[in-house]
Amino acid sequence: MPYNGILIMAVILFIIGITGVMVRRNIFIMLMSIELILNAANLVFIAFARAFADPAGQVIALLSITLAAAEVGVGLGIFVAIRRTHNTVNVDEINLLKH
Amino acid sequence: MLATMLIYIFGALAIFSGLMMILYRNPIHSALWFGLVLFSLAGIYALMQAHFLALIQILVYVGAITVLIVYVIALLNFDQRDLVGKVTILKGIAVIVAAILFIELLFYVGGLYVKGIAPPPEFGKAANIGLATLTRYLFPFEVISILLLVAVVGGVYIAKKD
Amino acid sequence: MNNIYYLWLIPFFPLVGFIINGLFGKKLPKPVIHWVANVAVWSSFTVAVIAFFDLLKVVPGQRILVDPVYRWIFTGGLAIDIKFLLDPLSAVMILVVTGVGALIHVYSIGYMHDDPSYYRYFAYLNLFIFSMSILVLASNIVLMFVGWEGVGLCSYLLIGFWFEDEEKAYAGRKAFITNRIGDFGFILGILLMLVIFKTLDFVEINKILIYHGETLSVTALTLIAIFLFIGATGKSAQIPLYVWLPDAMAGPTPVSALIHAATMVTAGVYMIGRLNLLYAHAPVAMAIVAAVAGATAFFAATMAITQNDIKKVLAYSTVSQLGYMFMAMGVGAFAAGIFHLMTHAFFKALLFLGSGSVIHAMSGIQDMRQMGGLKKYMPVTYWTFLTATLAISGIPPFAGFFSKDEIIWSSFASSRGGVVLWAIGVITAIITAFYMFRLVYMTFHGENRSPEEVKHHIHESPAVMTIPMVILAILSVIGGWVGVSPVIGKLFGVENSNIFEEFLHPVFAHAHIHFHHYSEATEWWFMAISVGGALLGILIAFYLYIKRTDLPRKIALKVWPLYKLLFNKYYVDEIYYYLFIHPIYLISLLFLWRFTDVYVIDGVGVNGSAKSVRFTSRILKYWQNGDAQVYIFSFVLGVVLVLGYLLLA
Repeated sequence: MPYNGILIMAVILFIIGITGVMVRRNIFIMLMSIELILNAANLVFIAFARAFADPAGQVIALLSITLAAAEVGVGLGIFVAIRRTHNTVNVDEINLLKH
Repeated sequence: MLATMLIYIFGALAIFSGLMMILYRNPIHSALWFGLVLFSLAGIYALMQAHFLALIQILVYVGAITVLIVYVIALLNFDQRDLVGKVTILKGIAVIVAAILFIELLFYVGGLYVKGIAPPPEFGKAANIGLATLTRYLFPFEVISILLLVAVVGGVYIAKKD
Repeated sequence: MNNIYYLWLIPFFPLVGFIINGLFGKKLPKPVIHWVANVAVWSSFTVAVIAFFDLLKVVPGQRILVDPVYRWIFTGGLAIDIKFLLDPLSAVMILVVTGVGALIHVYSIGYMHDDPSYYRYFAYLNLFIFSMSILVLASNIVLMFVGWEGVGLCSYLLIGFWFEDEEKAYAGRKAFITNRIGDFGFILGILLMLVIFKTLDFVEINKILIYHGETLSVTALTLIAIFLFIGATGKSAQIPLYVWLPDAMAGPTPVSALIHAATMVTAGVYMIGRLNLLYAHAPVAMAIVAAVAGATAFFAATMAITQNDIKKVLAYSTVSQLGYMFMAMGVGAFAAGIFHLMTHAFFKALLFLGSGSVIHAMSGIQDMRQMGGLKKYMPVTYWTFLTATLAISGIPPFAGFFSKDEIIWSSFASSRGGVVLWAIGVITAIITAFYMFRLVYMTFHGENRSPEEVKHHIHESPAVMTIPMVILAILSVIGGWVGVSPVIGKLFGVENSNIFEEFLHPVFAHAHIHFHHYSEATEWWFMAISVGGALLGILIAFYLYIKRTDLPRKIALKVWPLYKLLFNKYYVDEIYYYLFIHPIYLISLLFLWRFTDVYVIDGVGVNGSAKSVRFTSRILKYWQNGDAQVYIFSFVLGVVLVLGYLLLA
């Protein structure tokens, strides 16, 4: 199994996710970038589960998918609320933290 | 050997789709590219003897999460002018910083050599994972279910019109 | 060293009284206030008496009882306990403090009865008794210093008791600041003591001095002794820090009697008595004490001659008498000094109470030129006052005679004294008799010179004031009989007539001050000279203020420059003002305030730090713009930096 290759793939996906979060200002794309980061992590978990023949990695990946689902649920709820109050989905127009 | 090749192909597909995902203007397109990333990863999972996880990835991630995102994007129906991106100095710096982070992480990962052992044939089966989840990892499992419950209630509460 | 577990009650009762009156006094009726205060201090006195008799039960050589209450400071091998010590010296002192204090508490009921701040007065008075008993009973010098500062605080509070009057508030501040200068020396003394002895416990220090006294550096011991004496000059009003005491008369008269005559001002004498071994090992310091004391006794007495304010005369007389006590300490006649401390506490407290009674009757007038002929109006005050005057003048068999004569004789006979000190002592005794009788004649004899509206009100004070005076008068007569010189004792066929000195002997036994031996005839002669001097002073006063009342004015005109010099107290206050106060004021104004405070502290320190924060935040606020992506960027940048550091390191 090409574990090192998989690790590098995970790193690349992680960096893509980070870049997306930092650069894109559409909150949906930011949310999907965050999911990408989570998936990069999942990939590493599963790769190591296979490498050490330990189901722990797979269990944690499962939990992490659950976490992602919860996150998306709440995140989309927030987006709907923001859209209603601010009439925008652009993160640079949402600066409530400043006030 | 075939498996290795397939992993690289799926990996390349995932990376390509990821790039497309953050490069496309329209979030609907991004969401579809995102779905493709998830599919590719599910393929890698399956090749790495995590069949159950591959199934969950497709069912939950592609089937539920991606669809939900697409649905909400369509629901909100925002102004197309929002899609016009601005290139700022900060974004340029952000890309450079991300590149530096990439190089740093490569230094860490490049130093590793993982040989791995051959797992037993039943590894990755649903029964196997279920046993581990409900015995050794019962507590995290319970915690995550409470989290999920809270998220469901919270999501409904936040999104509802008052 | 035995334990005595109830000694802490002595300071405890007044503390309780202080807390009750201090916290709730405003709402309590007057009788409750003075009952609380009086019960507190009388309880302390009772405990002191019980403790005294318990002390007497112990064999004379082992009369050191301690009450370890609490370990207060414990650090780096240094242990400072809140521990009370009862030995003959502190027993005498605590009896005087609580006894005289209790009498004055009773007197105050009458004197202060219509004061609006009644509760405050009694609260302070109780706090004073608390602090003073801490000072007296302290078994180490740090605890003593706590009491020392406590009595200083009470003194300040009570001098400035009527603080609405700017002048009185100023007198309080003057007393406090002058004392601070002395206390600075005291602190230096304590620190040096810690360096030399590695302990601050009196018993331990005495042990070190007895067994290893010769190995210690005499210079260091002398320095300690001098530093502590500087503290004593502040607290006990000796040259050069005596200036606060005459102004301290701004306080209520019972306060002058208690704090500024009988107890607090004698703290310095007591301190030297406590550390007599230390002083005995530092002959130079003792010589300085004796010289300063002699000068103080003489100059203060001359200043008293020309004063017209009844309390000011008594104030200078107190300074002068304190000079006597320090003279005794300086020549090594420790027991004599403590003896005079005790008798002085009786008669000087009585003199102040008497003057308070007069002032009370005169509706607040203190100028003796407006008095006169009060004898027939207030007989009890007159007779008790006369008793005290005879006592302070040194007429036998009154208390002052025995103690003062012993000091004068010791100043001659001691190996550390000399004929000069003796001469100063005798001359001062003549002046003392003169000015005291001048006071008596001007106040109680001759014609009444008071204004008409005051004249009607002159009356004898109520019993609550006169009874303490009578008790003190009795003590002023018989108080000296416990310390009768052996020469006189032999005349009456009494062996060991000097019980007082014998009682104190264990405390001072190790000091080993040598006294020359003279024949009994010599001693009789010296006694005759001092009594004769006192009588001479009385005669002069009688001649000038009863027979030829026109003469004082003529003499004053004839020696006008000298009179003016004395009347203005040698211009010491003015000299201090131009030499110290004015320069310090200028430095404070120009440098400390206009430069240091305004520019350095306010400008650089306070506003500067605020400005630097504002400047930094002005830059940083662009970071904190509420844009989540900037925050994410900062976070990733942080990760990059940390990872980069780990990689390179």
